[in-house]
Amino acid sequence: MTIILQAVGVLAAGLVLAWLLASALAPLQRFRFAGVGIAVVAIAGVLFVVHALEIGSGLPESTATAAKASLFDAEHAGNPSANNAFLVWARRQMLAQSGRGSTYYLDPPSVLQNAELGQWSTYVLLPERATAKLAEADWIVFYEATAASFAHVRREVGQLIQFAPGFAVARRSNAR
Amino acid sequence: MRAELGPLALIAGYCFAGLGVLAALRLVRLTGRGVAAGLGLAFVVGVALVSIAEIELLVIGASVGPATFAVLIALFGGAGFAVAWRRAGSPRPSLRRRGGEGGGEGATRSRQRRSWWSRDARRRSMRRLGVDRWTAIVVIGALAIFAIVSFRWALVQPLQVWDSWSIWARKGTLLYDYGHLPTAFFTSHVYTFMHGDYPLLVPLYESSWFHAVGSANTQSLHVWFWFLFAGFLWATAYLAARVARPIVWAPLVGLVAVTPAIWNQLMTMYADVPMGLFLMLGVLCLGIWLTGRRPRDLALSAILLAAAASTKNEGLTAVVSVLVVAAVFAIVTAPRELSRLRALRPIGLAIAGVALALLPWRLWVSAHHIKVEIEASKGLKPSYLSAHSGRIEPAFNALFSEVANQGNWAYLLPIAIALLIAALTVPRLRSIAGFYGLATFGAGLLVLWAYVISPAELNWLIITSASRTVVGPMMIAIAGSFHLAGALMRDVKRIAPSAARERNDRRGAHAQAPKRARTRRAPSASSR
Repeated sequence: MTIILQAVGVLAAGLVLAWLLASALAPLQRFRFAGVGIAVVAIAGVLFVVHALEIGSGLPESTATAAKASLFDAEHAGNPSANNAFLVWARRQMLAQSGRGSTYYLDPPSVLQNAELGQWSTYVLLPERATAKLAEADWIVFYEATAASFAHVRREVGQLIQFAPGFAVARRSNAR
Repeated sequence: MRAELGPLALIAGYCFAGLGVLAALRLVRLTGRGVAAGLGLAFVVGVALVSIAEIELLVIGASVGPATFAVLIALFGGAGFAVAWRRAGSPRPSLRRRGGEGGGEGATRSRQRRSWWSRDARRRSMRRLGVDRWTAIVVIGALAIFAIVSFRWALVQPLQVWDSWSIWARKGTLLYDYGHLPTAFFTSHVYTFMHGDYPLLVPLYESSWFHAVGSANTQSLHVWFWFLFAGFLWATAYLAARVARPIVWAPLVGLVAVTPAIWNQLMTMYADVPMGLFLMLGVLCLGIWLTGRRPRDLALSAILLAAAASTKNEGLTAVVSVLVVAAVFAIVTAPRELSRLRALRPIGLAIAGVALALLPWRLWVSAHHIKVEIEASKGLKPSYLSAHSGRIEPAFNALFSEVANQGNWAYLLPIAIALLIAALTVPRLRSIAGFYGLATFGAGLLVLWAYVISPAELNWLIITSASRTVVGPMMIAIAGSFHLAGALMRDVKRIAPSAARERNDRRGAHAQAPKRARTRRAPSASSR
């Protein structure tokens, strides 16, 4: 309903403008609806100034704030609470040893089930591909894994390369 | 060094490809001024064509990288310029306001040109040009300041918003890393969240940037979207100048540039606004074609609409709506000497072209059994629709409250509605107003239909997407605003003081005459 009233307002403004400017602008005297075009141009001009100032005034401060962040922080701003240093390290480990296109299993599985952390981890670990099954993976990426978790897959892995307690990668013994 | 030269080469490449095609279609003059004016459109068309071609190549298993890009731009640009130069001997058509509303416009223009050197006519033209030119200068100047400030901002923005990294930058990075379509990612149920069925134009656009800067640098991606937006605004001005005077298109271009729903959403790096940018330009071209019936306008429209549908699934529904409505209007408004079949032929070819551009990706998605979010076939079953009919009202309310949010949409919808009503009262504008009105309505209806048939929980769907899915219908309405405002304002000009005095005198004499003597009425707008 409000939209209809607003549209009627624009129409009315146009017709009033046409009536006011009829003696100065042709063909408003015989073609009143051309005044709607004038009203639209005027409204667009005013709104352009208002919104340009509104958006533009916030940009310098936002620029200054964002410029202070390092490239690493900027590239990992999607989930700053994740252990991004580990994820980047794990990615490099896998790339260095298996090259592009190897697969990994995130352990514990709850990491992948957590929408935010799961999606973020698989994003940072690109171009390696996550699998839902341990049997399909070339690597195991331990993210906040417990000792029990390590023990559970101990016989599946070869050498465990640790980044920090609970954070490690291991190549599966029968990886391709 | 690569970080600076790479992007410049990339932009130049897209412009070259687009310019070649525009020159072949005779939609840009190959003069310094003509090229400068058409550069924005050339960039957008280059992105559209090269990306669509890259999608087709990916689908057949080819790899896509800098070499493919170079070959494609050489192919499009080279072939386009070759055609243009071959035609150079033939007379060049004027692009100014051709295909306006009504066939008599060209004749009026040539009469105006003939009278250009008469002193009165020149004074009148200069005065009229003055207001138009000043409006354009002021708005373009203000936009240039906004562009500089926003460019600096875009340079340092982090990629933060969920889908921007989870869907779009993820696919962009994959294409950059692998160079081909890594099918395992798209078919794996671990990656269902990245919506494997979404078309690939934005990921390809992002991967081209990664190649240009030498790494998957997501921070600088904002600049790349900034370029797309700048190209779009430039292109809008170029196309709108054919149906509207600068005093009309300049403030509207300015308003579109700073409309929060467009600017803020674009900088989230989602695909909805890029889709809307292609859609708006494509619809404006289609409107121009409907009024002028020049095949080259339709060809350009088909390219841009195919790009819109290759950007987002919502783009596909919007394009379907626009093309169906255009086909109906092509028949209804065809000249009497044309049979229905002949009237339908050009738009039929355009629809076939768009379908051909989209089909490979859809076939690939289907062949790999990639989960499709919304199954359209289900949504056509009356039983399914009736079971979901309870979703209609809440979905409609949510979508309507989005477009009625003037803090986001800057009164663009009431403006479009007012222009539509005004244009519908004018016989010469009735059909084109009907086209824009019905196309917007149809696109909105298809968005609503998608909400109704979606298997996702409605509240979640509304919260996460309603602000974005209205972009398509809104951009069609905005395209209509440019065309209709331009058409309504076409003949508005200052009355010379002497003529005004004369008219006032006549009016005074007229007022003194007895009322019953007034038998002659001023000609109505419909007789124009």
